[in-house]
Amino acid sequence: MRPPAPKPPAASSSSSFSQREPRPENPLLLLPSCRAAKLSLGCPLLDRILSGGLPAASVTEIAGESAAGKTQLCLQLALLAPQSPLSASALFLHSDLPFPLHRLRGLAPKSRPDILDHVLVAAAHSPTDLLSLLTRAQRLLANPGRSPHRLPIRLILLDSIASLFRADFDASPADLKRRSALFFQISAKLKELAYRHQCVVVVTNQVVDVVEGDAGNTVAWSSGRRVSPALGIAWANCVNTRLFLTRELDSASGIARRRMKVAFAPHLPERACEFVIRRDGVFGVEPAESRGCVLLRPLCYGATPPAAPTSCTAGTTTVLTSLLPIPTAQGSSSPLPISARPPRQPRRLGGSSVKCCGPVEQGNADTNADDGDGGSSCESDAGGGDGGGHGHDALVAALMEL
Amino acid sequence: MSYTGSAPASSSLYWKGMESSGDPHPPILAGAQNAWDMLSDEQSQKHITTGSGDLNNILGGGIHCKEVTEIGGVPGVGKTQLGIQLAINVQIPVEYGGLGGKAVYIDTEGSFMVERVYQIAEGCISDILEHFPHSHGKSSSGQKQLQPEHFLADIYYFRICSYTEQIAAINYLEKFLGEHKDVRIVIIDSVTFHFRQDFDDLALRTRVLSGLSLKLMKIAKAFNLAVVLLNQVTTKFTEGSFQLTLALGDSWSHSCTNRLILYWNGNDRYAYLDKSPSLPVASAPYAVTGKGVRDAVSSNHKRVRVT
Repeated sequence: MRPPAPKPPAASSSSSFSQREPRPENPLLLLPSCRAAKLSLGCPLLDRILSGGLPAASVTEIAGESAAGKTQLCLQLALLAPQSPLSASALFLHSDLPFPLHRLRGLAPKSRPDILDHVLVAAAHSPTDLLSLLTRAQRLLANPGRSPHRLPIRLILLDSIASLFRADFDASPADLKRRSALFFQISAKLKELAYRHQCVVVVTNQVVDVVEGDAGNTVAWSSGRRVSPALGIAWANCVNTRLFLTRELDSASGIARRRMKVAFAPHLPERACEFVIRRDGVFGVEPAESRGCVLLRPLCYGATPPAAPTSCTAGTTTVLTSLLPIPTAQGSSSPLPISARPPRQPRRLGGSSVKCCGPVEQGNADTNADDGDGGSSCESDAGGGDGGGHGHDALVAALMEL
Repeated sequence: MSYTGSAPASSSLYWKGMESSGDPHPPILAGAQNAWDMLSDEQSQKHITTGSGDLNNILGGGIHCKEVTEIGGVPGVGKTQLGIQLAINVQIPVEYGGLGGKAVYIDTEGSFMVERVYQIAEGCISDILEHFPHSHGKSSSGQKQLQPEHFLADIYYFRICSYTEQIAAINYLEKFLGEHKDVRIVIIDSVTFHFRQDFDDLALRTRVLSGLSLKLMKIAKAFNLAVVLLNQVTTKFTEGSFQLTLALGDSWSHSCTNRLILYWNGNDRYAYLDKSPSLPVASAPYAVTGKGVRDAVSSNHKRVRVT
């Protein structure tokens, strides 16, 4: 190896960057903002194992087999982001078709139909498609504010990374190399967006069966299978935090017991929590009482009771009363138990418009670049848009033309 | 190594003298040293503790200054934890047996979580106070107070989002370290991430990387500091089977003085010294606790890997 050889590329890049020297940051100054910038999962128990929620400026992976609750969690996060202290819109990139619109609507609090205005949905059909979407998203994040009443995007959800790579790739060394190069490109882009705009980034991943050994990847038992997150160790290098969702069918009761586990995280110890999926969302349950006790906490940001989860160890079957929804002063959310809620009225949500820039029913990668008039939006009731819906139209249009 | 036992208790004094009065023996050629001087230098040199005694033992006392150490391992085994731990431990004041230096942390992956750094700093401080119970009152009058905030403020943190930025940052490092002489460790977490994206030309990648490593070695020598590079693990296809190796290829493995591999052995974390010019190949268990990297002692202290 000739020592002078590496000089030219290094020197040229340094000169191009010489105008703008890298500036060190003081971690102390990052500390308070870092504490505030966590996105709650909407349940104190789940938040507790995450020390407050999902961190911003970091990529979190949620891995799990199908029906483990990955998409449910993503939908819940998308709806929580506008109401959370983050006060942000969510960008939901999906590769699994179709997008679960009805579930999203069902989860949305009935009193806040405008919430859905803050969920932007786009379909990605291939890794290159995703990269171009992320480039467009980058431009959108870089210049927010064409509409004054829109919240900035601070949450990016990708559901799921694995299905983008299911086709088109063999197990040959050349394809594996091409594939992992794409992982690192996608991850670098996501991390850059996360860091520059202090976004929370969530990526879901599927699982594969582990035949022999574990090749250094995370392994867990789920539904009686030994599984590991898909896409191998190359992708495992691309995420900061990995959450593993597993489910185990209880042979006695026939009820699936779900667990969320922190597989690895730079800031968290490895720990786990059981959870349930209900009609109104995903909630953690205290392990000792997972049968009788279910949290009744709709998707709302009330005042979170401090240190509440520990109080429930007192009784064995009591509902966690301290976690029951506290009616908020402004009454912006209706924390009613499901039974007390009015029946679902889809038309009532007419003003709210979840739109898809990109086809949802039939995937066709090239159509989402063709026009900028929101013509490919899939919701029929977009016409009744109120002010919020209008702003959203502009947002979709902005995303389309970028 | 017969000389290791003879490391004098007054080594810190000798070292201090060296630093303040400049070079006592004017060399014939600028920068030249004879081997005897180098040996006594090395003996007087303090090492940066990893937090775990077993790990320090296989490393010959800790992470060495003037050397480039590569640390690799699978995701979640504790590379970043060790990196953060070293950024904190380098700051242990001289009167408590540390180096009292500052740290540069170049983060390419976004895994530097400040709340965790704060925890590790708190853990480090509580251990110092445990070991030096009598000097508690004295330290408040000293130059540096034992506060986690001070530990955090003395880490220069760079967040890097592309490989061009990474190259630029490393090129800039020389100037930065010239202005900040008290930096004693440079940590890059990880050196790999941005070089695994879209390098079609692997020969170019090798050239750029070996350029970086030469630069880092030069920095380590010139500023008498430790350089720690964290590396990822990749699967290598050889002889019809996949094996785990550190990323960036064979030529990269020559570019570090020491190479430490972290791995899981069942539910325990182990470190394996894979390459060192002066130390035998060895492995040792360690643990990542709430306070940071520590010895894997009893099973109740160990963090159990839930699978």
